[in-house]
Amino acid sequence: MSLQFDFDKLRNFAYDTLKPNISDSTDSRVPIHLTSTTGEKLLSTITLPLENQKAAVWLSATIGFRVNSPVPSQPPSAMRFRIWRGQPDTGTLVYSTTDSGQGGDSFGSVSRTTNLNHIDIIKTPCKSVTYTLTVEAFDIVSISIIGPITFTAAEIEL
Amino acid sequence: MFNTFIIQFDKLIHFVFDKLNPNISNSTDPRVPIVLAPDSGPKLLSAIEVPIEKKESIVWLSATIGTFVEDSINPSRLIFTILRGNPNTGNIVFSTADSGQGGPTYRTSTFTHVDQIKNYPSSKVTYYLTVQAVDNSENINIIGPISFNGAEIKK
Amino acid sequence: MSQLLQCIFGKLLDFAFDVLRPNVTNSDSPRVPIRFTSSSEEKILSSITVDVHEKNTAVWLFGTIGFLVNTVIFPGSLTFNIWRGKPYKGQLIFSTTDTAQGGRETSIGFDPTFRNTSFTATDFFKNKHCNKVTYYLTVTSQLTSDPEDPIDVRLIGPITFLAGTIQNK
Repeated sequence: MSLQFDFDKLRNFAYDTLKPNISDSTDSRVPIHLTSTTGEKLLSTITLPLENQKAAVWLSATIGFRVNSPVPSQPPSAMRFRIWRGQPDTGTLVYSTTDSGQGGDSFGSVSRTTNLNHIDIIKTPCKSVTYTLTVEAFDIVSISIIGPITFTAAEIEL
Repeated sequence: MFNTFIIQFDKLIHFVFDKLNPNISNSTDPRVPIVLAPDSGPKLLSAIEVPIEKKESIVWLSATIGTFVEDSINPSRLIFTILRGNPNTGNIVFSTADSGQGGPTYRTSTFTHVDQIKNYPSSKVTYYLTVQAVDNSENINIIGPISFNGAEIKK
Repeated sequence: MSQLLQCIFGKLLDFAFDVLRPNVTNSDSPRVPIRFTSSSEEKILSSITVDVHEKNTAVWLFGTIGFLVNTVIFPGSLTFNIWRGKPYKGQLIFSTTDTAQGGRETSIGFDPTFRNTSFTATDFFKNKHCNKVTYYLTVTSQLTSDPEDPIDVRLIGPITFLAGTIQNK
């Protein structure tokens, strides 16, 4: 005879960070230089083990970037961050947000930090799920992803 | 006869937090405003002590800080740093920079980090959250809110 | 007869959340866009309910809102509040303000500035509580309008509001 009691809702946790996870990090993954023609770039990938077939996945991310060049007479610049379940394009877009990439002038660059939070409800017979975090800049001259990058996923029992 | 009772699943082991009271913009908490004058060094915003129960653990850290820039045309930045162990000489486990430009401009900065703990020599670890203003020609004020959280998660 | 008893209690007791569907920038969810053209009264963006039973329970909250500023010349801002219970009847447990400046009007429309605001907050119940607790996320705008310089600020998504109850010793 065996008895099992589940008290905790947090079942699994997966994460990715730069090393070191700081502004202007020396991690070889950064800097990532973006222009208006760079397109969507991959920032991070995490795979979360799953205990249950149906779950809420709490996704969160932090990204630090720097606006290098001024955009004096063009539209205000922006960065679109996306979270895909699976790979970009072939996967499912579960979340996106857009933050300002504006600023900077002849006096210097502008630093920014963006944070993301989302809950993805999934139903799958698979034992794990992969999420990817991407960025795409538009209406910019030059922006660099300089760190930090934090990307986390937590399986929460429904 | 052999009975086995297994009651477990304990991923979130501890949760600690610090916040202003009230935790709002322009808070009346005596800890704010914190005035960041030009060329002033790092200032301590918050500290949390996280009990460490497992030899190998993960600490999921998150923070929100509200700031106000009265007048700063030149691009300036606020560098937020999380140190482990000591507010001045501890390990820098995380840092990020957010814009200090504007005027008058309110800004909310939020960030998360995951710190990996392995064979830590103590049963608790203290994290310190600091801020430093760089390249600002006028004062930048920390006006609240300040939230600083740490969750110990079993690996 | 031998018995093996292992008790390891977890801490995350309850979890509640609300997200737009889809939870993306420029979402076609019927809840957005929410438009501001001047200073406005408080609007409810989201509400979530958690169970709180034990004493020494912490509630860990997170919010993320995406918005765009089509045009605001003078510095403007949005204030986000978290209430325990209905706004004004309940208790204000958190508030933060973020800038709503940027964007520009062109001859054919707007060149907007996109912005993303996130925040984390905590609430604490020292004594035993027997009910469910509902948290409300609201927004108020502080925008100075001028006949010469129109204002147009829109909440366009994403919107995420979540809470986890955690038992503390």
